Amino acid sequence: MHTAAPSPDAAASRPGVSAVVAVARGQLERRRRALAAWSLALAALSVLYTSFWPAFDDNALDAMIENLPSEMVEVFGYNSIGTPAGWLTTTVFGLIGPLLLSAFAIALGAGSVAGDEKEGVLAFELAQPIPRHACAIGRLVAGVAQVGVVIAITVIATMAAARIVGMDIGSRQLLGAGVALFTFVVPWLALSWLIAIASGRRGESIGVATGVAVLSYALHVLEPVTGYSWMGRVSPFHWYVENEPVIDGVDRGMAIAATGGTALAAIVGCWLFARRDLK
Amino acid sequence: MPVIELHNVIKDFGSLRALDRVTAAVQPGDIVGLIGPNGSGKTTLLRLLSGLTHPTAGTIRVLGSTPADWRVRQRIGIVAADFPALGRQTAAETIRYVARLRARPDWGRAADLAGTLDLDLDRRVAHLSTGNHQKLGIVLALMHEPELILLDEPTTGLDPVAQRTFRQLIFAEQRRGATIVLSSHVLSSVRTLATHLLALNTGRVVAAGPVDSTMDATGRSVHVRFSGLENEAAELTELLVDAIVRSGEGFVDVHGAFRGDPNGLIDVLSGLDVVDFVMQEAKLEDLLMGLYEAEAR
Repeated sequence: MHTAAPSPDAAASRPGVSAVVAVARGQLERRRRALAAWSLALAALSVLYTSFWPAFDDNALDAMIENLPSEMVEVFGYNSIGTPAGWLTTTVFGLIGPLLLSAFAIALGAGSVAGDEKEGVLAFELAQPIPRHACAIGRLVAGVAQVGVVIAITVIATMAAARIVGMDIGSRQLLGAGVALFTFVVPWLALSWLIAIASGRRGESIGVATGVAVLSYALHVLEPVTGYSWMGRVSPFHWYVENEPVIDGVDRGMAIAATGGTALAAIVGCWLFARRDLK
Repeated sequence: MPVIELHNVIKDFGSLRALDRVTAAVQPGDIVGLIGPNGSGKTTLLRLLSGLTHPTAGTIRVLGSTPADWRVRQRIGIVAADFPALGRQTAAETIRYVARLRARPDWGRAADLAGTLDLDLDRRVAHLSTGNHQKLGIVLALMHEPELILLDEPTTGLDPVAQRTFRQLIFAEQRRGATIVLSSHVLSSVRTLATHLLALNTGRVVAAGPVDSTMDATGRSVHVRFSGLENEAAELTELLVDAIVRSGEGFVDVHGAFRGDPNGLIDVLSGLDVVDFVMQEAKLEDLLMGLYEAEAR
């Protein structure tokens, strides 16, 4: 009868934080090209909008806004578009930034779990001695880091462009807007990650998370039109834009809600993931 | 203590019963050939042993732990049927990644294994052929000197030279003390490697045990041609299972399976005017077909 010698490093497996870091690092290495592409695209859009600023004078913008319906002015935040902070809120940080980054975050949350599961990467990692929760949390951490990188590069590019075109806006304001955008986007990542981790289905994850995000935006748009204030109260998009991120920076209540929601998603996701079969 | 213990394991996928009350034990140092047709439950069983799926009912112990316990995988090496899509990583980067996950950056053994298998570590995984994917999977599964090795179709795409190298590696792992479970459709490879068989059909165990005794139960294939009359074959056909007798042109041909002491057969043959005699071990295919036909009846 043969007997296997005990593995000399049986205790050297990866528990806890170090396993999470190893998984997150693997994710970042594998997705570095997509991350670079998204960062450059968002930064380029922001630079584009910022560079338009000198083309408008305050009077021309104000005259244009006066001719628009008041509901439209409120929905798109045009009431302060004649100021640098208002212009950047209306264009970059209140519209294209949150919309595109939400799409990025939702695709990322779904792809890093359900996409990897379909491609066999998840099973490959779980064939190694790492806990399932580390495999799951590592992906969430990597997703949060990627959202942070895209926003950081966008903010830095906006700062540079604002300085070049002589836009009167402070770096602190732009940093605050970046942090506010981060607190708005990360919950969408957490939502799509949670659905993917629970179901293993990419389409379901993207579909449900996108549906909730679109509903959130629709409620924000409809609130001033219909006059139903509850629509604004239940819309994360409304919470985010109402706070005017470039002017007010991050809203403490929203930051707490985003952090708490993401943490709750992480806990529930790990619990569900430990109990389901891999596809 | 068995390395693997399965007791009444059931695995359902919705209304489909993939494994049905599977009970088996694998002892240390065994090389178990897991065989069966498509959909028989081989991959399902390996995924249960890997902890990727959970049993619907029954108990599974692997190296004394439940497969869901991630710590046990420090002592297991796994080759999956399909290599994951790892994008632009090179084979070397993939090995480093797994070494990081295992907290064991033992590059030396991985490089030795890659050299033995003639695997180019600088090539991107996405550009590797099926056979080279398998080689990389084998390197990753063996690099940490596991006590238990689970292999799902490990020879897929390997050329004959690589298959021979793979067999040598598996025997070396067994000599080191490892226990190996090998699922494969390449029955000749299973026959060469396995010390034990676990045959599945429609999720049920249809045969289990040492290869030699399992094959002996099937018997050896016998063909005798002698000069004479058909009634002279009576004593010979009594010794054979499923004997078929044909005669013509002064010769009698007898086919059948023979079990037991060959001396009895030799005695009978000595009384005949034998022109030709062939006796060979039954093929694994014969065993499987017999088992499946018996199951169907």
